[in-house]
Parts: sequence; C-alpha cells; structure tokens
Amino acid sequence: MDPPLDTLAPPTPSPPAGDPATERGFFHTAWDFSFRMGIRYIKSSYKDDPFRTFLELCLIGFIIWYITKQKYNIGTNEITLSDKEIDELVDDWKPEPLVPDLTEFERETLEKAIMIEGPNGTKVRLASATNSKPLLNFASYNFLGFLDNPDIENHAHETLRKYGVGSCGPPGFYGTLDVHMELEKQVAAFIGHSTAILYSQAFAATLSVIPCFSKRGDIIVADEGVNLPIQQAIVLSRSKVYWYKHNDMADLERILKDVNKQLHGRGAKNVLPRKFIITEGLFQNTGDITPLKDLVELKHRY
Amino acid sequence: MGKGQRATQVYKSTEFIEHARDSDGLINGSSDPFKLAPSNSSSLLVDSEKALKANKLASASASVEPAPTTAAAATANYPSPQAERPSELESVPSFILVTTYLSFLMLIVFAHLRDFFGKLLHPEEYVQLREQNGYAPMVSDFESLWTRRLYGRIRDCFNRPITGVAGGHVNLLERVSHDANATFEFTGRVRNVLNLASYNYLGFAQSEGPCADKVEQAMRENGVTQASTRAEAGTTRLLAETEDMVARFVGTEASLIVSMGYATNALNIPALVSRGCLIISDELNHNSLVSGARLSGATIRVFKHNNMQSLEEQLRRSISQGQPRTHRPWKKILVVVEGLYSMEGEFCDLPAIVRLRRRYGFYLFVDEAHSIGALGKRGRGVCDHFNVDPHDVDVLMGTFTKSFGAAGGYIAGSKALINYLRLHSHSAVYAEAMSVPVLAQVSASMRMIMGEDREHALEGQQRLDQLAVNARYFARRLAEMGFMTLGDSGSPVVPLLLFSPAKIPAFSRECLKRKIAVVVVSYPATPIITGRVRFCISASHTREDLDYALENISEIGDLLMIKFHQGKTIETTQTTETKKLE
Repeated sequence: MDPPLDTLAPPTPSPPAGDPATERGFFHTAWDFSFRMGIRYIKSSYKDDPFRTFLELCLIGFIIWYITKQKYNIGTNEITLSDKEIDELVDDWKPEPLVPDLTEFERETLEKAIMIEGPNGTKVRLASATNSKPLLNFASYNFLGFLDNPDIENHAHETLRKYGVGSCGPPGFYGTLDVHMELEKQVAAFIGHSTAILYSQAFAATLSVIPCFSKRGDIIVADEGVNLPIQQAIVLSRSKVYWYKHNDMADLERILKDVNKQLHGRGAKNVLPRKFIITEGLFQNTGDITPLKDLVELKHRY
Repeated sequence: MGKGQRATQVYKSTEFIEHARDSDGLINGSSDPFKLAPSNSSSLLVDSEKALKANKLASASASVEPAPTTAAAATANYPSPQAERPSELESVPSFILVTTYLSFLMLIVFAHLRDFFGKLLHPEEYVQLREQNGYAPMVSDFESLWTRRLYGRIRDCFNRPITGVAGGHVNLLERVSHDANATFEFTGRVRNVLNLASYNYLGFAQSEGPCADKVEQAMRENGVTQASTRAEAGTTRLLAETEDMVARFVGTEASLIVSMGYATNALNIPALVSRGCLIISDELNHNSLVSGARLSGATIRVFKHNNMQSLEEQLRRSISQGQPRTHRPWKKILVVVEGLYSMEGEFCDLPAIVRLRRRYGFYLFVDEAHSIGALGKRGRGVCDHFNVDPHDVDVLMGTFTKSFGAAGGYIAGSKALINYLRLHSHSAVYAEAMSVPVLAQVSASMRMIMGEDREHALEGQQRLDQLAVNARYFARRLAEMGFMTLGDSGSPVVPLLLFSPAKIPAFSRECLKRKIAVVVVSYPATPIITGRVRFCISASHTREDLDYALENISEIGDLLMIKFHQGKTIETTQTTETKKLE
C-alpha cells in the first residue's frame, strides 16, 4: 500500500535568494550542464574518426575568425564629418564660373558672324551696313534650290491658314496630324521601305533612334568620319564601339572578323548581342560617299 | 510714397540684392504691386532659413525688422507649395491599391502565357524576337513585353490623329481596329471634340487672327526657312530680334533660340557642365533633362521630388565629400528643376531653392517648359508667380510649344552665358536654325502677351486672366466632386488619379464617346500604380465647355468608381477652409 502523502519527506526548503553560495551554485550547475553536454556531443560526433572532429574544429575556428575580423566598406568611401565641419567646407567651396570667359579668337568669331536680311536663297543679302549687294550663297544647304520656289511658298501659306503653326503636343497626345501621316507614307515610298517616322529636328532624330535599338552590351562598328550627332548618339547608347578607317572596306572587314571571333570565343551561353554598322550616305564633314554595295555584302557575310 | 519708403528700408538693409534698385525699391522701374508685400509675412520659412540666419548678412538686417527675405516677403500672397500638401497615397483606401497591384499581376501573367503559347503555336509572328541566321533579335523579349502585350491593348487611346488646328475644339479622325489594335484603318469620318488634351494654355493655336496674319507677312518677307545651321548662315535679323524679345519677356539679358524643345535641354546641358561637375536633379525631371545630363558626362545625383530637406542634405553631403574617391572639390554644381511638373501639376519651390542657392553657391537651371506664359500675373513664368528676380536663376530654359502655339525652345541668361553657348553648344553650331513662320508666331504671340501690340493691347492680359480663372475653377470643381486630383492651385495642368490599369483606357474611351478628348498616362511616364488622366486647361475654353466636361467627367467617375474622396472632409490647397463634400 502506498504510504500516505504526509509521511513523505518534506521538500527541502529553497534557500533564500541573494545568498552568494546558491548563486554560484546556479551558475555552477549551468556551466556544469553545458560542459557535460559539450563532452557528450564531442563523444558522439567523434565516432572513431579523429579527422571529422578536426574538421569541425577548423570550421568553428573559421567562423570565429570571420566574425571578428576587421570589416572594410569599399562602396562609398565616405568620411563622416560633423555639422560644423560641413558648414566650414560649404563656406570655403568656390565653384568655377558657369561659363569661362571667351578667348580672343572666340570673341572675334562672334563679332564676325554674318546676319542675313530677307529670304535665304541662291542669292542672299547681308544685314551689314557697308555691303548690301546680293551675294552668292555657298553657305546654306539648298541642294535642289527649293528655297526660291514660289509653289512651295504658296503651299506654306495655305497650310498656315488650315492648320496654324504649332501642333500643341507630342505625337502621342493628339499631335499627329493627317499631314504628318501622309508625309510619313510619302517618305517611305520615296526611299523604298514600308514605313517611316518623322522627327522635328535632324540632330534629335539620330540621338533618339540609335540608342533606341543599340543598348549597353551591343556592338557598333562606325566609320571614323561620322558627324557629331551620330557620335553623340553612340555615346548615349553606351554600346561597345569600334571605329574603322574612313571608307576603308578592308579595315571594316578586319574589324568584323575580330568581333565575330571574340563572340564565338565567349561561348554559346552568352546571349548574342546586336551588331550594327553605322555610316553616312554622304558625309557631312568630308563630302565623300560611302561604298554601299561592298558594305552590304560585308554585312551579309558577317 | 510711404509704401515705397518702407520697401526701401527692407531692401537696402539686406545685401541679397545684386542689382540696383531705384529709390522706390523697384527693379527696372516696373511697379509691380506684389513686390511691396507686407513685412509681417509669417509664412513658410523652410528649414534652410536657419542656415541663412547663421549668415552674418541676415543678422545685420535683423536689426531693422524680423527680416523676411525678399522672396518670402513677396510670396506672402501665394501659399508655399510645400505647406501641408497631403501625400498622394495617404488618402487612398488600401482596397484600391491592392486591386491595382492584383490587376497588374494578372496582366503580366497573361502576357507571359500568351507569349509562351504564341511562340509554340505561331512562331512566324515572333520573328523579330528570335535569332535567325546569326542575326541577334532586334527587339529583346523582355523589353518589348510591355509594348506588345500591355500597351498594345490600349493603343487606341494614344497617337490619335487629328486634322486642322488643335484649339479649344479639335477635329479627330475616327479610326477602328479589326485586329486588336495591331493596325488601324480610318472610317473617313471626322469628329469635332472638346480638346482637354493639347498644350494650348493661352489659346494661340489659331489659323486666323492677328498672329496668323503676322506669320503670313513674315513668310512673304523672309522666305520659309533658313536651311542652314545657326552658326553658318542661319542668323537673320528676324531671329536676332526675336531673341532680344524673349530676353526682355523673361527678364534676363540675352537668349538663344533652338529649333526643338527636347534638343534645347539635351544639347545645351553638355555645354554647361562636363566631367568633374555635379548635377543634382529632381526625381521626376523630364526625359530631355536626363538625356542632357547623361550626355554631358557629369556625375548625377537625385533628390526627392520637391523636397527641400532632401536637396539641402544632398548639397551638404556632396560639397563636403567632394568628388567620389578622390574627394577633390567639385568644379561646378548645377541644380536642375522644372517650373511646372506636367505629370503632377506641381510647381517647384523656387523661393526656397533660391535661398539655398545663396547659401551654397550652386548654379540653378529651371526648365519652364510648361510654366512660361501660363503662370504669373503677367505670364512671365514661375519667377513671376513667386516674385523671384530672374537674375537669381542662372539658366532659364523654356519652350514655345505650350503657351505660344509655336515650336522650339530657348535658353535665357546673362550675356556672357549666351555668348558662350552660341559658340560651344551643339544646338547652335550643328542644329538647324528655327524656321521663319515659327519665329514669326513666337514674336507675334509674345508681343501680344506683353501688351506691346497696339491693336490688341488688352488681349494678351485677357487670355492670361482667363486661363487663371479656368484652371482654378476646373480644379476646384473636380475636388468638390470627390475626385483625387494632384497639383497646386493655379496650375493649368490638372492630373486626376485613376490607379487601376483597366480604368485608364476605360476613362479615355468613355470620354471619347461623349466627345471629349483627354490624355491618359501610365507607366513609364508615371509610377506604375498611379495611372492618371491629365487635363490641360486652355484660355480658349469657355465656361460652358468646362461645365460640359465636368458634367460628363462626373458621370464617368460614378461609372468607374474613381471618386475616392467623396464623403470625406479634405483640406486641399485650393480651398482655405475645410468643406464637407456631398
């Protein structure tokens, strides 16, 4: 029969808190406990394989070293400064003038710039006081002589009376007129392609189209003598660019071969980049014409 | 004059003034009543005021009065754009945001599925996306997903062709699509619709009237075009006169006219800054400014939209740290902001920026593409609106497309700046000069706004007033109806938030059914969840036009459930007291 409850030994009274002997006892037991657990773990993981224990010790050592080593912040390289120091630096800082002063040559260029009076055409009149005879105009682009054409002027007047002057909006938002669309169709038919897009300014056209298709990671092979809009567009597109000597087809072929070799060398894992050849039909700076037939043949070959 | 004397006291004591003011304290003798503002303007001093107070100049003037700076004194009449503008997304029920995200998710999932099955079943339609014969795909798969699948669904809302003049009403060419917006064909009908979409703020897009007559006369005298770049044979007397007029209009010494608005930014910023300089630009700056900054090769840093604390912090950090890695001091710092942000309808905080400029010494570039001609009592743009001296802004840029009914842009500044740009900017040396009819239109409309046209002396001011009244009325009524609008009071651009991608084309098509033409914008012009419709108010809209539009917009709003603020009390910048909305 079970002994009645009250005959069991009374529970040992818990010692009052604050007694240093018992506190040490608590930590002592905790330390004791974990020490024993550690020994038990090592014993069980040892499994008669000293190398395994050695490896585990190395790993633990590595973790401790990594956590405690000095960390470097390479990214921003910023110095922390106090507010007062920042104020001083701000007061000290003197920027360059927004635009530098003009040199002597530049000032003369400005003064000598011609101002035209009246319409532009094959013969043009300058606005200077001394010379008011009409002069032959070899300065403006008037290849087909349309500037002197009265039909075009009349048409311009009619358009003004029908459409006003501005389109009041970009083409995306009610700025596309029916005349725009007709002109696009005519330009496409004139050149021989199916569609065309219009831009307001020639410089901006190049600047928009080239970066639209050629992006970072693509390859451009361009003629050295291309004009400034193309050069700026290539900069904006951030593609890799190779220059070939002006109108030199042998040089172009060499570069195309090199580019293809590099791409094959990289392996099939990489995405094939787009490759563009950029040149001008009639060069603005030198007046040459590009050998188009040879160029197209090279394009197909490579 | 008593008022003049007190103005003299305020102005002379501070050394902020760089230009001689005559004894009445007025610049150039112009008697603008807003410059003689009361001195007890308690408003609106931004935190950067502390920096100024530490400056010994400010302490000298503190002995006269608790000296507000000239800009703060004059802005007493206009609330600062920073004051309690509620954050866009705070007051939107989260239900709307969640459904917007879900809609986009669904659209993108469907887009990917359609692409996947399409490539399997109809490979010939995806020719341009795959490699063939060693040619890489012209358009990458991922980039064009948006254009093909999402934008393609709503393509009929954009690029709508018109004919005739884009004035208060416009003639739209009707078109239908039989193959899900891939191609369009014209039915041949022309519909006359109310135009809330074109940038025609002062109503100068006209084919008859005094401006058109002047254009015709100029074309007879000067031919149709210059056919040359400006540096070679493009400078004419007409161009030189128009440049002088623009400089006078804006309030600077000289100006340079460029034939295309976008190119004005893209080609002139590289002439001002280069490698070793820093450009600090607003988050939401226009693409042309970003293009110009990238072309220049300078380092670009961004500050939060219209947040002057963010700008100041960026300035302090940049100046004290110097160039990255070498810590050399920056050669120049150019801060680029816009006068009126067209997608938000907000103004920049020009007085605060000018105060920061005096403290930190950067150069300020303000792009007034939308604000020139449309803001300010005399139409001189954002400087006029805030009563800031135009000489405090280093480079003022603007376009003629919006308020003058022409095309092209200008840069205005000091004579030295413009002379330098004439020689070194790509737009002056390599790009065509502006053509004659456009120049003549600019000249004629500007003369009318300035009131220098003798026969129509009052018409310019009438148009300005009409625009201001129209804009305020429209924005106020929309807010009263419970729509969620953005923008500051007085801005002629009023955006209205739609959020969900399905409501964006729905709004546009419903409006078209009711003979109203509107512009809807979504990603990438705006953040992806805040798709919006943007109304452009014009001086050529009559009160009946606006009421008709408001009625229909209200109906559509009920249909699409976009009246997010209905039944709530909202404190807007348009109303000075809280109004209980119905």
